[in-house]
Amino acid sequence: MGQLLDSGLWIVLARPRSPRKAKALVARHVDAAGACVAEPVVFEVLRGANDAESGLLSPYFETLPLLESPLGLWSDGVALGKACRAAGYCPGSIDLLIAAVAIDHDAELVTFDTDFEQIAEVSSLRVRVLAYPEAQGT
Amino acid sequence: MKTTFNLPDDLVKEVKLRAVHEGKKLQDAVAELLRRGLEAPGGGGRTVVRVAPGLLAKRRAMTRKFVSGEWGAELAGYDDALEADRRAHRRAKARRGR
Repeated sequence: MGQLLDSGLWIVLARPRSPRKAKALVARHVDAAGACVAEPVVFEVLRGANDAESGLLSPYFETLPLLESPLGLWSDGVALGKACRAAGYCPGSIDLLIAAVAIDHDAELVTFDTDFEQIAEVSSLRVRVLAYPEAQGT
Repeated sequence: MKTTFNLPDDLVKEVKLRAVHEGKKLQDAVAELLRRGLEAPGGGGRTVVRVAPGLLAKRRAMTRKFVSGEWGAELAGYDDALEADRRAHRRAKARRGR
């Protein structure tokens, strides 16, 4: 069983301006043996990177196990989106795909994004929402 | 229990061949294959994450560079993409309100 690290964790760790305590918190999760990534996470991070940044992050991602996207990823995402909508939630499309991968592998999703708690309410997603330690300074 | 199935010819041939090769009765070979199928984890299931020690050490060394600030990536395009999603969401909401 692994911990799928959401895109937001990678953004916090990569950005020079992130508070040091936030980076340290993310680093503890990244450095854990069970940490892993998924294609929608890598996509979301790298689509926002320039070439030089991709040159740093791509080899970094290659040091982590990649949770394979399930064959039914898109239809699973649709079903999750419909379940959320029926409950009055509207999470982002990529979030639905990330959740679908985590559910398929029964991986715990580690995130700063409370939207995933809404997805967890209507599915078997296991989510751990981290408190962003912004107020504690850098 | 005695039961009857209609199965594809090629599948039956394959199972019969396997039973012959393994010196088993056809019914025993079928029962074993069914048991194995039932015991196999379904789509996904609890994935066991394993990472080679060398890769883990490499990852941790890279993490230290990001934490220390030796390495950094602003990833400005990430915020642009989020903003584009928010704009699309606002447009969709406005359309529904019309």
